[in-house]
Amino acid sequence: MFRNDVIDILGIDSSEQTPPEAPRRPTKVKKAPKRPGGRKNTVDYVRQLLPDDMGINPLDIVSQIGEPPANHLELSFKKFGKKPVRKWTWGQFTNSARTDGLVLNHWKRIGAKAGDYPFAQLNKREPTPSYTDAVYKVLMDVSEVGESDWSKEETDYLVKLADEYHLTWPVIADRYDFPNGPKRSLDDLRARFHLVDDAVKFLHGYKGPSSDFNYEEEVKRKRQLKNYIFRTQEQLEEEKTIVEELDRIRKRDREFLIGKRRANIERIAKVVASQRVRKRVILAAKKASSSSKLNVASPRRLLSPRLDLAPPGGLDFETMANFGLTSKPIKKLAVSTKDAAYFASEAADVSFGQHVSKQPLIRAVYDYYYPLTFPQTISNEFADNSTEFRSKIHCISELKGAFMSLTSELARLEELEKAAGFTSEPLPPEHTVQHYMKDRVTEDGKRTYESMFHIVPPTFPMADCIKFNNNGLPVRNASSSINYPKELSRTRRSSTVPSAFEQQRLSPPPPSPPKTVVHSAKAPKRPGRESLGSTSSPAKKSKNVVRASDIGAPPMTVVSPKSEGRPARAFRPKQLFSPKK
Amino acid sequence: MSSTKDRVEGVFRKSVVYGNRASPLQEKLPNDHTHRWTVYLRPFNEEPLSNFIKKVQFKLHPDYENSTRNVEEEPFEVTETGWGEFTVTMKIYFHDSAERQASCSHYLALRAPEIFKEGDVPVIMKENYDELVFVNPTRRMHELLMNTRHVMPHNAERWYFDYPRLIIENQRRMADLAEQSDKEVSELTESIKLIASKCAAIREKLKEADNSKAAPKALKSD
Repeated sequence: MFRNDVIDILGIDSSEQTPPEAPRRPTKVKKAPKRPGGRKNTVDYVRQLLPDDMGINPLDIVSQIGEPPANHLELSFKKFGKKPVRKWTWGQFTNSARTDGLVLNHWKRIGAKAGDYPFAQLNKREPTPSYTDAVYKVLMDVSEVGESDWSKEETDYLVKLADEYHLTWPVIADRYDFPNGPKRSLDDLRARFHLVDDAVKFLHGYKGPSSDFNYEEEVKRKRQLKNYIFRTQEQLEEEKTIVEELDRIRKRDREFLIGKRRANIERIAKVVASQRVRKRVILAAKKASSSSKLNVASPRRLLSPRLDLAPPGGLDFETMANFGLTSKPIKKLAVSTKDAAYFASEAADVSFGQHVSKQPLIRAVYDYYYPLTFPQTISNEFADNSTEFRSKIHCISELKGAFMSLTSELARLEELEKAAGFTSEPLPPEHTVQHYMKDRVTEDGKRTYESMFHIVPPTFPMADCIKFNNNGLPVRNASSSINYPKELSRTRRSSTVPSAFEQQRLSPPPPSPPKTVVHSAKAPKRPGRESLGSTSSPAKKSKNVVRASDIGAPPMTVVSPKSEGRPARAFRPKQLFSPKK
Repeated sequence: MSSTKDRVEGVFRKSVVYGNRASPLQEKLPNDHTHRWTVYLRPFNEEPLSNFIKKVQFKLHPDYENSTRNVEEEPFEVTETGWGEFTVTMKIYFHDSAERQASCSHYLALRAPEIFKEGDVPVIMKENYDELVFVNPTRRMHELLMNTRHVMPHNAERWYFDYPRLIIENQRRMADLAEQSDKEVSELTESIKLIASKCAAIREKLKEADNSKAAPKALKSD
């Protein structure tokens, strides 16, 4: 023992060891004893594996290795040693838990303590109620015991059976046979038993929990269980399909919600992207108008790559122009060309058939100019004019898109022109964006309406929208579909339209709208803003309200309950463009 | 025998007003009805519509018994009690069955838009002025339409709304809009042509300048 420790401490190579003496009693720590019988121990193996000249002490390695698991066969031998086996004998025994005095045989160990059958202590018995006749009589009067068709005899019989069969109800119910008694179900028996049991306990002052037997619940539970267990194959399959269906529905709902969420995110992303695009367009417009000189050092750079003559985005001005020039109004639908009788409102309300993609825009513009008020008055002329008006709305959108694209393209080319040293004639004023944004006055000068150009969002031309027909003339490419805007980017100006209620009264007509400089000052920003939705315009509007009032704008015009109150905006000197002439 | 195949060329019109009036009941009826309403079709001028209208078929909400009410003599109206608003469609059958039926729809209003008081009771009234347009009517229809017996012009006192003014105003407004749209389209077209030609001109100028400045390595023309 010490020897091993010494070896350990000193780190003496165990190969120098002399083999230990005769097999020793197994000690807790075995370091390097040689096993009898020539079996190698771990150290030997390690030594075998390692080349001798490495200088590694096998003991170091061995101490890191865990002991192999003990051989359990050897273990028990070690545990129980070499004592002789104990003897057993075959003999009789009785079970004190039995009442019939049955005598059986089993193996008994010689030398074991004699005693009662060890499992008799597990014979726990639920006590059954015991009552005398007198007690029973009392129960009859006091509790519900008397209120049923159970006679005393039958109750006694039941209690006896319950006692006999240890409250094993299935057995009791099976064996239950009261002569001339009515048929009792298991639950009936149980109910009666517990009733009596509780009553007796109560009488004796028992304070513990009651039996809690709920007859109705038990019957229901057993019926449900029976139905469940004995389902037919068809029912099983039906249940399976229903569960699958439910899963499918849940999945669909979940996916729909996910889709909606994704659509929302995409919509927001589009808006964000469009705001970036808008900035670019605004910058382009600014460049067109500003009189900043180009860097003289770079004109050659502008000219030499041929690509500069082509516009960014790949669309050339011819396509843009052709897109605008091939815009056609919707042909009037033929309610009135046939021989027919119809209401004028039918003619006015004509739906534009296959022009479904244009419908929301047409509806929006129409409602803007002509909000629904009652009473409606639709005459034949009204119907004709309304159809004509609506047939051109999408044209305005296309023309606006083409026009604005052409304007920015022209601006870009004019820059190049200037850089190349040429002078350019500016466009006559009636062909500029500002001009078209202005309100329009009727021929007799009495009424003013906002220009459709102002209100209608543009539809920009796309690369493949134009092709050429046999005569070499441009026509629309039917296979490229155009996405018309669905909404206007602005709410109604309060001053132009009287409120619905005002219009109906037998009262003088509403005051004509004041001719204020409302939007032209902001016109140059419109091309960018209008093309791309209105998410930031509400915010901008409120900012402008503040600034306008700072400058001292004219007081607010009549505000109808419908539209938001916006004061007329005065000219803001910081604008790049000249004010309305 | 009047041949219905012959048609008189031209467009003929008859002005009508249709709509409804409604009053809340003093007490809710046991079937939960809260209003009494009348939906009607009246001539705008003082004239008998039954001259040329054979019957008017009012289609009410299916919850009503006999939800299709046919009215064959003036006044063309249906009175009922109810609690809800719905769309009533009216189909006009003319005396000459060769003529197609005209139909219109009206959203029955019980709460809005117009309220005035008749004595103690509030009355809600919602009306529409409309015109029955006959394009190339049959000879017989034409006769009936042109029958000016008992026809007198619009009597403003019998109406709550100022129709003459409204009709003119709205007509004028829509005419303005139609004209404006026309003008804007043609003006924009002109502008587009002009701008396109300017772009072309500039491009030509630049191309020439480019070509004259070109290095020996000539650039490909487009």
